[in-house]
Amino acid sequence: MAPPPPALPVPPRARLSVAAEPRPPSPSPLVVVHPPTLLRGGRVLTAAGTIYERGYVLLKDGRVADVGEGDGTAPEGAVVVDVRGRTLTPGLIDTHSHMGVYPTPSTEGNSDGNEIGSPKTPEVWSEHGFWPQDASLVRALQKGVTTIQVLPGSANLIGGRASTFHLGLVGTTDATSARALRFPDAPQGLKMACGQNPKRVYGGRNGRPSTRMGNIAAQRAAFQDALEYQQRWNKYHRDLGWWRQKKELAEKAEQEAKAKHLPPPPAFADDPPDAPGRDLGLETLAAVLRGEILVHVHCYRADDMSEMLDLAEEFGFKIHSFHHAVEAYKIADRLSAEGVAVSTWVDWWGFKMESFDAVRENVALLQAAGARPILHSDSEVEVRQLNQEAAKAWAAGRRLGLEGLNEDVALRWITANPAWALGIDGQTGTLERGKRGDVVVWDGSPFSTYSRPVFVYVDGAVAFDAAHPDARQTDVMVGTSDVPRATTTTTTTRTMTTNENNKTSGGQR
Amino acid sequence: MSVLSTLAWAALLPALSPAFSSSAFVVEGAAVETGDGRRLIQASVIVDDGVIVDVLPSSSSLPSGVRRVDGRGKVLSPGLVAVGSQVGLFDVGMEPAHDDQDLQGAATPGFVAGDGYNPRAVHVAVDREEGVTTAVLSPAAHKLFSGTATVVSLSGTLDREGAADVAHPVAVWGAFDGEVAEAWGGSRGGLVLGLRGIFDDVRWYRAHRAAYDAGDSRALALPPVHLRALQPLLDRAAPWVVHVDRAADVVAVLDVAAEEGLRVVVDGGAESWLVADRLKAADVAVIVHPSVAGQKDLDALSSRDDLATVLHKAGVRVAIASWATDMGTTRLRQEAGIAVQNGLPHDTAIAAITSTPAALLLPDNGARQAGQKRGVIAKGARADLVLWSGDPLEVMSVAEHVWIAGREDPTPSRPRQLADRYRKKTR
Repeated sequence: MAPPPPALPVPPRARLSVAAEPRPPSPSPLVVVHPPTLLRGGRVLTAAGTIYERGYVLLKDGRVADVGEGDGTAPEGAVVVDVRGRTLTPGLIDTHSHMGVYPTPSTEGNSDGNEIGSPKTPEVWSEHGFWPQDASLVRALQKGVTTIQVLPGSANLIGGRASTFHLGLVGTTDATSARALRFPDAPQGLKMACGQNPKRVYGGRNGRPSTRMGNIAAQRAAFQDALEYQQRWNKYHRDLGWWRQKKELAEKAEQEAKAKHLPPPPAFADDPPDAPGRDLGLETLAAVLRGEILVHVHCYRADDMSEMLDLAEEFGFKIHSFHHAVEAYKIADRLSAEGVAVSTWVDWWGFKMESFDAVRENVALLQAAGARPILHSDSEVEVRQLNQEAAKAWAAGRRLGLEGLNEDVALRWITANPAWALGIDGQTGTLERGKRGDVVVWDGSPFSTYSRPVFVYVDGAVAFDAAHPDARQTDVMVGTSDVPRATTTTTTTRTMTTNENNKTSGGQR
Repeated sequence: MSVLSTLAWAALLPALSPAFSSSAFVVEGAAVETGDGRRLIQASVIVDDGVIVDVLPSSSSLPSGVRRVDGRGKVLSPGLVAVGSQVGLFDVGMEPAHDDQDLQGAATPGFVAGDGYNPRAVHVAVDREEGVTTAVLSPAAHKLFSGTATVVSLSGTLDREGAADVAHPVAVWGAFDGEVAEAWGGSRGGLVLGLRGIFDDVRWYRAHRAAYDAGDSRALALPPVHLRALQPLLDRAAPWVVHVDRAADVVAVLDVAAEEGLRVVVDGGAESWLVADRLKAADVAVIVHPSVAGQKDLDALSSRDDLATVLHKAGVRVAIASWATDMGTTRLRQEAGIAVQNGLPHDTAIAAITSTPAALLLPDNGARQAGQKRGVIAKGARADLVLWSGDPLEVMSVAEHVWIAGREDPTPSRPRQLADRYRKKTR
């Protein structure tokens, strides 16, 4: 590899005067007017290293207020739910979804996942194409999924910003915008892609890139532009600082002269420096360089991943996770050492050349190497069986004779580890005190093909209740199906929501 | 699910043949899923010369000198039958030179995708390791008539073992919906017109073949090679397996089939439960893809997770097939398990990936040739067997042994070799 260009002074936390996070703020966490709930008597898998064979989870004010062995104590006014014979896990998290941007029912009119035309579109955001009426969102919730990251597709080298959504409100009349479903305080992601897809899409149109060489060259060029963009803004801020200081000094001198009845000094007539032009794409990449946006790279081959890691090193940013990464097991040591998460499948393979070396043992081998493996779906079908995929990955590792695999570890592949990859591990992904009340109550082992959720709680409120499976419907599901409704649409637990942010901002609903 | 009574066991106790070949073996003491709706709590299965020669209660004395495989605590099932597979029709996806799944054209019933089958494709061993021993190979394309399906065993051998014992063709594959209609003038009515015209030409061609050969023919909708491939449909010697989801489209297909005298198998059938009575009356089976429910498109608005269960309860025969076959059919048993999660009886789900597809799509299913019956564990059936670590429909179970016609390939698949190779690096 050629020597990298000289290091460029990029202050790690330099602020742009244009907002790096120009989104309107997320709705504040819902304040659920909802009695505390004590789930008592179930087997509790925390995904944090502890299993309570007969344990409890107390949900209060939207959070896990307590979790432990035994029956727990029901506070005044609490709803006590008998979950004996059930298994409790954290809500499942999918790091790779196109729900909302490639929604169901699948139609041309609602297909909004790939901004084809330019291989670099860091200025586009998945949430601007996210259709909250996607029927799959409700169906994912039914199978225990409480959080998803929605990314742009992989046609482009730089596909755009990804957003994380919390599924507590899907299928209600409050879920009328992407913003209403956004996971509060989750960082945004950047979707990048390497390998076959970008070179196929653009090479196939006699455009660029048409080779892996072109892929890397274009990505390097983009980050070089971003560095220079950041430098221009850094210089502007320095110049602006100087200008302000000079202005203040001049004003001070003027006041001093006035106070001393001296003739005024020459008037300060310097113009402030001109701000550089705002570039919405480079704004995204500059935020990546500053570590404010997490980078997720669609990459299959080990050598492609290695190239991307080198590229990130050259430009001074971190790759937070690789997606698909079917050859990650070949570089498990490096991925482990560099702390890069890996989202992959168990048995998607052979559908193109770069997926040809996929092995069922990928996740278990990564686990054995101390890396951070994750099972993702990339599919509105597979998102409904993430627990089964974890079981398959565990079984494959066991067959190979790998040690250190157990329920807690396998559960982390679909809970704690994806929470880390999305930068929300402080908020969800385990059943620990203080985390959001995202809980799945299963009717059996989550590692059985036959098990399914009885309840799904999001932010401490019932979002799915198997006794009332049709309580949640997105608009597209209303009046279009002849499937008999299982029950009336009354829910067992009535929840009321208020939104404090809306009270002050005028509200979005 | 029924357990054989002691009396029934007694009936299963013929005199043991004293002479076994050196290839004979017995799987001893396993729970046996027979594939046709029964579960034997503990039994021993004797195999010789590629055929199941006996099924014995485990208390029986076993023949001496025959190799024993310990099946205690494990489950023995028939090898799985993957319907609508493209295994071996491509080595690697998206590599045109290594992909033989489809032929261009709006209707290509004469195209036999299986003619391009490569038993050495890596996919074959991967599917086999997940218990799939028989594949009904169909083209992947979504069109009115995509081609003629054939059957192969996944032994991975170059002699295409298994193809010879199945009458050819086994089915013509196709689809009927708005997407297919794009090639027929853009509407479903155009599809029906096309179907009627094609079958009219099949009949005309059969009646006027000499005239055709003499150059005295009317214009035909399809070349004779394709018209001839549709003749078995009119003879009811093979079914038209048609991917169709919308209830109204299922009705249209059933109407055309009744008019033309065809046998039909519905593939997909998201909304087919709405016309379950008609399906039952016409003895039309449905190939269900259990994980792919939901309102995937506007033809499937009335889809339901428990489709297989509802059809089964209505008396419709149900087979189960894999999702996303461009990645192989390794998920066949998981799909069956998902059907059980949604209410299908366990034994029906096992049958839906063994005996039911065998009965539906393998003409006579070995009746013409002894020892070739597939999809069941029974005396005289072909020894396509899988020994599982537990319930085959549980995703935590793994296939520990897979025999095809009594033979096991001990070589791990390429992916397993790769995993083993890099495991050493991890350590």
